[in-house]
Amino acid sequence: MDLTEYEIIKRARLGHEDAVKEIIERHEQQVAATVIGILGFGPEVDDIGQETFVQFLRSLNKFRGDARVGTYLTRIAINLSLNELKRRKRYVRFSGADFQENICSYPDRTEQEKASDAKEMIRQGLQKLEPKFRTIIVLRLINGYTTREIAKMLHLPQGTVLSRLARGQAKLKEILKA
Amino acid sequence: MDKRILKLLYRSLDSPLKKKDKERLDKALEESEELRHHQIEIMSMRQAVAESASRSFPQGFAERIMGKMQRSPNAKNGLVAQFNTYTAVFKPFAFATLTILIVLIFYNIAHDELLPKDKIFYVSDLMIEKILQVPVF
Repeated sequence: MDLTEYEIIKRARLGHEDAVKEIIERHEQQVAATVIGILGFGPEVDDIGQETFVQFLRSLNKFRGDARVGTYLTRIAINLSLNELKRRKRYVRFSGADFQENICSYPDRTEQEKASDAKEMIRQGLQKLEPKFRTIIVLRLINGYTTREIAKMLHLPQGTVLSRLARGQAKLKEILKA
Repeated sequence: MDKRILKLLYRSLDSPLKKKDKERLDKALEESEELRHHQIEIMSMRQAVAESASRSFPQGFAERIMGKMQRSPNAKNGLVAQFNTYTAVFKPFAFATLTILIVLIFYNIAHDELLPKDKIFYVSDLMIEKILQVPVF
């Protein structure tokens, strides 16, 4: 199927399952990169990814097209991921559990992925950053949004995005060197 | 390393610099090998971060979402949407009616002609008797 974004949305609104599936398949990579980038690997990552699409599909009638579908989905993914981080923080505070243990239990990691130590090191380094730096690094370096787009998405001044991006990279560099 | 130059270096990778700042950074890069090394390090780290991204959920992701949507149809949200539509349609009418009613009440109180206050707030004994004479009672 080679439909434009607008046509797919129109069909999905009318309840065509193939259009809904097309939306999911087109944007799965972007949502996965955002959610996994912010949360790291873990069993709840799949749920957050699903919830991102479910929330979007349920509010399809409200979608006015003033932002691209990918941007809209990324916003939902960020909000849900940051909420999950808050939930984890509360959980850790009360139970003393460590979420790092989930890193090894993500079900869909291939052997090749596990073997890639450098990538793994960077992923773990990212997880050590504060969420405010991590989110911006993921959006800029992994999802490729411009700093202006990120500022709009996170309701922050562009200067703040630039400074957090710089500080985040400097911190990540230190973490990776350690 | 000069912190301001370092800041410019980071900034240059994500947003265009002003001409003056760009010239300052270029000059600093030309003069400092350490800064050039730092620039290479940052750029390769950025590349590595981009390549480290995992861009897929476990297989069957789309099917799981479709299943989730079918298992819990959005009945609640549907009702809420319906209620919101009705509210949006009737709100102007309700508001207009209320305004007219308030205007009429004040007009009536001010002029005391159409419906005297006595008649609004007072039911005479004679009226009660008349009501009681209705065969129903």
